[in-house]
Amino acid sequence: MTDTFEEFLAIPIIIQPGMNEADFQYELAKMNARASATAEFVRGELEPEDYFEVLADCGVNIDTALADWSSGVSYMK
Amino acid sequence: MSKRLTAAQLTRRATLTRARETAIAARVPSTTTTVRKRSLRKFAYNSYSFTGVGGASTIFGVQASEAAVKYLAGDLTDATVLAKLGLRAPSSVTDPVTQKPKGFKPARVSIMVGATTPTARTTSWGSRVIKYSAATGGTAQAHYLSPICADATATFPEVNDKATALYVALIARGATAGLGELDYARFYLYPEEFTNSKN
Repeated sequence: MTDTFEEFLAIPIIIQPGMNEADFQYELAKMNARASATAEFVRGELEPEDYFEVLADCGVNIDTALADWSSGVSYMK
Repeated sequence: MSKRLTAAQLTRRATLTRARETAIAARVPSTTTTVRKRSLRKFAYNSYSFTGVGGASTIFGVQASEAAVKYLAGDLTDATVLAKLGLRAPSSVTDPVTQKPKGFKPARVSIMVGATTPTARTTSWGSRVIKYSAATGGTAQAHYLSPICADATATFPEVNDKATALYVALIARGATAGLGELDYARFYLYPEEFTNSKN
């Protein structure tokens, strides 16, 4: 699945049981923001620090994400 | 910038890594002689980044996984169903399908179908993992990746809008019993990739 760098960095929306429509829309909007930022980062238009800031704004724990990525864990698998 | 780990955590990680490497080295290749066919099909794709005369999207030909298009849209040939992904059969397009520029990748949607009841198992090297994917091994498929493109008639197409509409439709389809098969599902979107280089 993860044949490109962008696919490796993907942080998807996870559908939780009992999620309501409003939660879903909110999480989906955050996922879209992360997707655009990841594409810009991969194209070289965002500095790593700025990219991390976007991820943090979108509710991602950077410490956990970096530790996972450095040990080869992708969130799309 | 990463978290500082304790000696105990690092020792445990080293033990697990060593056990994992031993288990992987001892693996033997499968002797199954049949392979699963993963068919691809060509579709006409309206680009988000490239526009032609009069602001219309440039049309490229892209390959898409038949299983993914069937799962996400519902059908491979029905034009109204395929419109959920924006894709069209190449034969229905009057404009010539242009050669894709170098470094171009279509916008894609990717989903992992979740298991309604996640299961836990112990790996052969002793760690415990919880499996949220619906794939049950063998030929079962839980990951789908398909191109998604602008509507042919859209004036200012946004890939976010198209993907949001698709995901909302998928949720509505699975909403009969809670979210049904979409509990623990993961959705992701890859915007269109192209190179800015003039070389």
